Amino acid sequence: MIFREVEDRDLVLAARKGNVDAFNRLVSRWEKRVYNYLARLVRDREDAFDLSQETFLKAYRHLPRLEDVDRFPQWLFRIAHNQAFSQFRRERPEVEAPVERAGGQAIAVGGRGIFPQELELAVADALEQLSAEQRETVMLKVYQGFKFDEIAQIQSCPVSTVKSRLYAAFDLLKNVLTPVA
Amino acid sequence: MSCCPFDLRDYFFEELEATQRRDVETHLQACAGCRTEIEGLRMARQALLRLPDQEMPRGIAFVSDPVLDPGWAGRLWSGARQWGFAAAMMLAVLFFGLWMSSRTEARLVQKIAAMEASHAAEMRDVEQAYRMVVAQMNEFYRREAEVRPAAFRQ
Repeated sequence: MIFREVEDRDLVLAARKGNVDAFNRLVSRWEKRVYNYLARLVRDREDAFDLSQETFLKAYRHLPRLEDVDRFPQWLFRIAHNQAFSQFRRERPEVEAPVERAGGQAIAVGGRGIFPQELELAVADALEQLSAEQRETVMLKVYQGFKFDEIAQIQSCPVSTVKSRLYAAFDLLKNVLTPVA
Repeated sequence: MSCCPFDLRDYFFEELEATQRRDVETHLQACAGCRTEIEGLRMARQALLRLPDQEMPRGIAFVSDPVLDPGWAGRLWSGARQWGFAAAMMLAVLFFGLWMSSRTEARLVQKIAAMEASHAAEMRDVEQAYRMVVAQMNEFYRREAEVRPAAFRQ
């Protein structure tokens, strides 16, 4: 007997017919990823949790508007993106485009004797040096594994912009996180 | 300027097609500079991936709250169904009005017919009474005519 895990599209279709349990299953599948994406983007755990709740509430209410049920993840992250950047604009405009610290201080993450906590701090500090858009692009590519065209849809920008954001971010991260030879 | 036939970063982020990937891999075997470039990207990504996922302070379970469940009434009153329901209700009201109106009209017709029948019966009674009175008067005058000449004759 072949067991097939229920796919997101089946849950989305069921949820669209008013099946709340189906939507709850979607929430349990995606909540941690959405939360971590938002936590790394807004850099505040409580804000990230509130935004996650708002994201899923909005998704639940607007589910009938989702045209392509196979693109639920991109659509969900698009909502999360809008929630986060609305908050940036509303409450903390200075966060939207933080000043990039050109040529940030190099941290020896690859060197011997570095502790996990130090590595964590080094990475967090490196991410802090990115603009919100660059940081988000890194989150969506490295942590969420979206393709460039999917990120372009989430961020509502051309693929070329996605690439330039990601490549600029990695140029900076390479410098900051380069191991001391 | 990279000497690689395709953008090394596109290769690194797995955005190239299979044939393009093979070309880059062939190039990497011969080019130390590009291998160093790829190694730098790999180390940066590795460092990023060592950042642990954060646990959520609590689960998001609000959608199980029945308050948000539209329920049968809400589902009935959603999307295209609400228009169908509204149209059905309007038609029902219209038909009910027409039915009530036709019923009232039938009752009126019935009432008028009854009144007319009653009126005709009354008219018949009056006519009969009138004829009786006329007949009695005629009889009276006839007798008077018979009696009076005899009296004059006396």
